[in-house]
Amino acid sequence: MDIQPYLDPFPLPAKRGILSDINKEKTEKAVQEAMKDPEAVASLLVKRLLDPGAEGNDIQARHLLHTMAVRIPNYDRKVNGNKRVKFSLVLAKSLSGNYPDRVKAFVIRQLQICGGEEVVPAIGAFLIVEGIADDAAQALIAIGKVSVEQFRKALPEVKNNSILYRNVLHGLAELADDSSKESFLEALVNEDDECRLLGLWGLTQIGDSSTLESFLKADQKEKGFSRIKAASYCLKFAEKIQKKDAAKIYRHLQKTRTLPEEKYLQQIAVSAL
Amino acid sequence: MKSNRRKFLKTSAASAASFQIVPRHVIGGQGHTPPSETYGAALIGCGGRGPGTYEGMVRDLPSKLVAACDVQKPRVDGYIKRKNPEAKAYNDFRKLLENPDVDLVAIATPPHWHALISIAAAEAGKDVLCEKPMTRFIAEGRAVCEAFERYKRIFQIGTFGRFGASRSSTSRTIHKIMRSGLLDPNPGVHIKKGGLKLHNWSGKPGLKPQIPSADLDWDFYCGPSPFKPYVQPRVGGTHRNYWDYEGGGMCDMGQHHFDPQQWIYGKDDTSPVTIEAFAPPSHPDVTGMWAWVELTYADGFTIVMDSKEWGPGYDRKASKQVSLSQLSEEDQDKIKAMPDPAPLLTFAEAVKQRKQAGGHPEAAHRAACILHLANLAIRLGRKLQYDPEKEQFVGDEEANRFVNVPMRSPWHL
Repeated sequence: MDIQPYLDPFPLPAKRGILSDINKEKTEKAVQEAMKDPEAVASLLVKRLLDPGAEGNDIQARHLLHTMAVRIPNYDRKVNGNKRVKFSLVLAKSLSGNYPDRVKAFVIRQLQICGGEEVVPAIGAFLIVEGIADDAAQALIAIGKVSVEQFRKALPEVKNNSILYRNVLHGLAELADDSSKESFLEALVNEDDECRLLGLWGLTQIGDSSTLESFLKADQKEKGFSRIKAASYCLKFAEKIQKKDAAKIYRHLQKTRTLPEEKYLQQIAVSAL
Repeated sequence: MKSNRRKFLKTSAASAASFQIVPRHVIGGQGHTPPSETYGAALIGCGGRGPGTYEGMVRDLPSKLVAACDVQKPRVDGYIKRKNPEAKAYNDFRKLLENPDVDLVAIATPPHWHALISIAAAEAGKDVLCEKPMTRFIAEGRAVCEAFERYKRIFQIGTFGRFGASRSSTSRTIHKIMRSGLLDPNPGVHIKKGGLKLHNWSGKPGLKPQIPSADLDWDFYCGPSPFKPYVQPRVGGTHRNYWDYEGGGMCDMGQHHFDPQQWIYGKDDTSPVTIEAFAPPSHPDVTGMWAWVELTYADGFTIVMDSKEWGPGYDRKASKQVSLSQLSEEDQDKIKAMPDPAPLLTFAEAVKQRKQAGGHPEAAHRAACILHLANLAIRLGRKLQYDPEKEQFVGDEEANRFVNVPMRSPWHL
């Protein structure tokens, strides 16, 4: 298959380097043609992608691949088939190929838009790869709760790498993973400020009153901006749980936020009680 | 600065050695406005619009710059040197927000930081004036609204056209007609022709990565947005050309125009329900061309952006003003009997009175949503149905992935 006819209508930078010479009719027609066999086109488009520092340009290939990724759900709905799933699987398969990291990151970003449960394991594999793990995490979070197992699986493997650990913990917290309660509790005693805050946020997200004692104990130790952020988690936690448990949080804030500049927190706590 | 305040400082042991700002909470407690005081003010994002945003914030407020922050050290140092050499310089906004001397924060970073810094400032008990556009995506705006409600802090968006609009008797009449609900279906069509700077704020794709200058913390600059190889146009005013940070001329200029229109047409608490664009396929990284976008509210009221810079002009509907003559005589009398809307409070008035400012979070968020919805119709290439209550697209899971875009660790809403 020759995909060049689909690429040619897509513009290259014109005057001032922008894509002002784009023709809607011609590009739309090219997209329609490409959508007749989206899997084959996608597979060939990925091969045209370049590392951003490499010679040559892949402007048209990126443009067409992205257009297919944002539009294929619409085509999928129209035909009531599984074009989107098949298209996403082709992109996911390319992630195991020998491509530069920034190419894989671009493909993952397209899956962030169109991917579903079917591509979760392929993306999840990158949670342990520095430099691309954050792209993977954001794509998985966008896909939703079906991704949570990938974060759980990656957690023990990234414990000794603070960047990857924070990234995975962040994903578990964002997806409000109830079964990661112990991981969030464990993070509360981490030496790294960000990890401790992610632990507090994770517990806030799941809103389990049984963790309240540990949560409040950890909150008390925070200083500076972390103390401000921890107070915000306290308030959000209180909004999620039963009144009698929430009252414990408000009383805790009353007792601990006693600096003159924390008067506003006292006021919030008092009015909530 | 008022004389009582001076007297206080003269008698204060703390001020014996040198002049210093006594934090507002020491005098009157945060949330309580003593009769005379000086507000400790700060600027986050010292380049471009920063100084102007700061001046807009402190207008009519006795204040002094006590702190400033920028990820580019020379910029913050230069600003402080010009404005107040005694102010503290920061490269991390979180450190600035720890400073108890800071009462007011002007935010003029690129928009991918607006929501997170606004929320953090509210959490630190500060009042905020935030440069437009308010946000980078829809869920950020809702989170800002919730934070300012939770902390009872003052927020004003950095565009002020609605104040003038609210003083016009014609605009007030339209506002009352719209809020009354008597015009149903609503025949009004507001068309914004040109002025959204497509070519000015279109990006250049395919640039080769460069090494950022040593004084720029590139990782921190990217912050919640995807970490991408550095190219110079991603920093400075041309950040507008990247979806990672803003949304082109639509977002740069849109809030200026649609914020006052939204007040006039009484839509501060809702959003359009259908959005349709005429645009070619959108590039994944950079903003580009589009012809027009049509957004319709549940009552039928329509707003249109007609770019006048690319493609065919908009010709589906003609501009139609909302007026009393569209109502029955009985309904016209009802409108005439309605009280005028309450005057909008400026940021200074809102801070002093501890009441909502004219450009409050909900209004600013809804105005930003108009721009985000328009941009999403352009980017997704399909007609979108939107639920303004749930703030979600209807029947389009993939479109909803642009409503709440996951952030890079450790940042989150």
